[in-house]
Amino acid sequence: MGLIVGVILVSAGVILFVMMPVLRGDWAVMGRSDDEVTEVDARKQTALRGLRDAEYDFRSGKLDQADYELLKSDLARQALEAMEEESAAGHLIDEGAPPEAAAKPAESTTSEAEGDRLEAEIARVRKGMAEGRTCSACGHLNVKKSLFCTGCGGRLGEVPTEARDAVSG
Amino acid sequence: MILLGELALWIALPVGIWGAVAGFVGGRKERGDLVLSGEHCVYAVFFLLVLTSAGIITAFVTDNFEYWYVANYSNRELPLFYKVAGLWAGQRGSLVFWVLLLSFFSAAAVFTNRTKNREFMPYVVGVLLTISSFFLVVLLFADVNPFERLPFAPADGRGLNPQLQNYWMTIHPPTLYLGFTAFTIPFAFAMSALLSGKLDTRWILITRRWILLSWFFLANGIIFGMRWAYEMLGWGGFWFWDPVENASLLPWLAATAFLHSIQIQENRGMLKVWNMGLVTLTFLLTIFATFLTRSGLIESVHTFAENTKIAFIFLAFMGVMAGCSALLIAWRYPQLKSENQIQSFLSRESAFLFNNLILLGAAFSILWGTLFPLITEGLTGTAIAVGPPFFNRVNLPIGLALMALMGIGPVIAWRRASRRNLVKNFRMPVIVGSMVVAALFLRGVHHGMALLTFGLSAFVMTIIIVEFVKGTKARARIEGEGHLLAFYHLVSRNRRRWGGYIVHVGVVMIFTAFAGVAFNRELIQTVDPGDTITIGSPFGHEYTLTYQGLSSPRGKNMVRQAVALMTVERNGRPIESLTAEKVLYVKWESSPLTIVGINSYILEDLYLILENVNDLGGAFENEAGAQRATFKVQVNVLVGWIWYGGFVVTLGGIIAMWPSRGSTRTAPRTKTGGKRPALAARS
Repeated sequence: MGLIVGVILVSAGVILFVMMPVLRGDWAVMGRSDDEVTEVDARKQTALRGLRDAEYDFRSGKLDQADYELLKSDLARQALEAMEEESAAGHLIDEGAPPEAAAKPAESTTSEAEGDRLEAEIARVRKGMAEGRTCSACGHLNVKKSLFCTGCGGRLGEVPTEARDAVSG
Repeated sequence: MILLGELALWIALPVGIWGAVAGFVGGRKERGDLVLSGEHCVYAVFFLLVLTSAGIITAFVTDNFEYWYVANYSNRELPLFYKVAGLWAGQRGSLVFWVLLLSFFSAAAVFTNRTKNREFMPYVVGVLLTISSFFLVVLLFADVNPFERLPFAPADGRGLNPQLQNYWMTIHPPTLYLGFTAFTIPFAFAMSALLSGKLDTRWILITRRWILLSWFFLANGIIFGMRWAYEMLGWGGFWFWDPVENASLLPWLAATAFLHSIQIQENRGMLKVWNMGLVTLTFLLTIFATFLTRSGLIESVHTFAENTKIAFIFLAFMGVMAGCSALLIAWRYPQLKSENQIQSFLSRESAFLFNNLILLGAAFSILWGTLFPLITEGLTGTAIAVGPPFFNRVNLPIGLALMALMGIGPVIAWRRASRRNLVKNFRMPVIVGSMVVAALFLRGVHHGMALLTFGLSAFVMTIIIVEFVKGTKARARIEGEGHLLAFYHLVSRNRRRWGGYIVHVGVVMIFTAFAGVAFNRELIQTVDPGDTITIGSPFGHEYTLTYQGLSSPRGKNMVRQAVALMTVERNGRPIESLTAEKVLYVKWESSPLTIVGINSYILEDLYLILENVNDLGGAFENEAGAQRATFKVQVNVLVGWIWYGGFVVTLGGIIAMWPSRGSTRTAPRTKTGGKRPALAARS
């Protein structure tokens, strides 16, 4: 008798639990929540992580300076493109806001500290872009200290002295 | 409880099927109520399978031999420990255990994604419950129901295979199953990405930890299995190239390839089709491993096999899953094109690609060798098995190439590396590797392959150490930190990279241990009490073992034990004694089990096997004239490094998987959830 009651209770409980959303019209969250990583976020963070790794590779002697500059320009361009897309989508905050406020919550697999660092990186890239070098051949605006133009691939000029110092130091 | 468990198994099937349908339809029609119902089904199936498993364990613990499964895998005297482990002792229970773990991981995946990554979840639920439902169908309709009753209840069961009566029984199979089942989650997300068209890198970012978790369990499961074989099988080795051992290695190799290739997609937007193919292949190989272990299609030391009927069901399922995955990849192919191309042969992506090809080459060769008896039987009518020589010959060069890549990969930058930098970065590791080879050669080591392995080990270890040193220095310079803090932040801020390097250290240690086999020493000798056996170590010292005689105690669930005692001296100085045994377990009187004696040291093991007792019956009766015995004594060089390497792999894996501080944060439910939109508007 006890067994029959137990079986009925388990069966009824399971059926009720499973069918309740349909019967009551409970609706699961179907779309992306505002705090979640987007495809653009993912691209931006990949580019910024690439910038971090490139800097590490350069400092530890795996990358030549010319390759590093080229790589950095390329990654900075990708990060900025992603940021512009975000901006166009109305997600980006005001220019003057502090980095903490500027930062959208980082993706779930990224630590807060890393998120802050990456946002600081964005700020650096943006600053670099603002003070960047315009290519005399195609007019493309490049990140500060770029050796090559990311627009046409042409050489922008000699390596600035401060960059050389930073490497040798 | 047993009947409740049996009924829960029957209820789980329609619940699983409904949940799968609700997930797919809910995702397709954007019906949130169906999706939620599907998610509830995931939790419900897990709950029902807990009841099912509890029912089986109850049947074991209460010696309910009315059930075929209990009668065949237990007996009254079996210790409680093994009765509980009876859940995965045989084919039927282990299939329940498999789907229980899968349902646990499914519930965990649904729970952790209840407020994020919602776009993926409908199809994730659909895929996960489809796979669970398949296993439930097998359990209920393929003559492997663990609750099948016998026409009468025997007084006692047939007992558990003696080889399974070992503490590793409670550790090795669950660890391996955790690895197999955890990989279903990345596969489900990949399929969901294909079905929903969300083919950017998010599905990889979401499942990265699941992939690592699965890899981690597979690696540990394999190492635990090696240790079990080393302690139990009594032939002095740790790897037999047994079909089931091979089957566990296959998904690990594919998962290792996948772990590396997803980094190319993350960093360079390349290999999207390849990664979809690899995640499918790895998942199919986990099913293949399960299928091979449970089908009995190929002879193996693993004794689950009892029903070849399910072999065809598994094959059909694998075919359907492979076909569906291939169709989905073909359908989404235009969106899976690479965003970039490999710019230089000298780049990390190029090294990772080689790593992938080599790992898959190894997987293919092992698969071929494992299936060779089936293939030859199909073609010629006679099954021809390829033995360890085939696997060793093929996989030795593959292993060495992989080791070389473990050293080369970290030193090469993404996109392109200049030759000048390569020469600069490789100079010291190559010098160290060469010096190690030269030093060993001068010390009398002349085994070519072993020398190459030791040289490569030194090369890779130097590179990893230099990486840590350079990384710490670079960070200290960039961030202005002290070296200790810089080291801590270096690892903690990029755990996957540096945890991965630590895993590489562990793998190098394990490979080094494999090379040690070339220097093993072995001696077989028949002795009477008081006689001595002397064996030299390749490190120059000598072991003298003095046979003290046989005793015959009787442990739980044992008919008899014959325990041989050897006192041991190392260069004349007494060290720890060794015992080696032959054991007759209750219900398995015709097949005595060998239990070896091991004295472990950093560089070698002294390994004692009681090969034969001239008069085992007499020995069991403690007869004075039945003491003559034959022993095999081995000095196994560097074997302990497999287990040390395993610890290091575990440590590196934990570091790589360790959640970041922000990773537990979840987003609040948004306005898109809650009530059905129309109803919400009305209310």
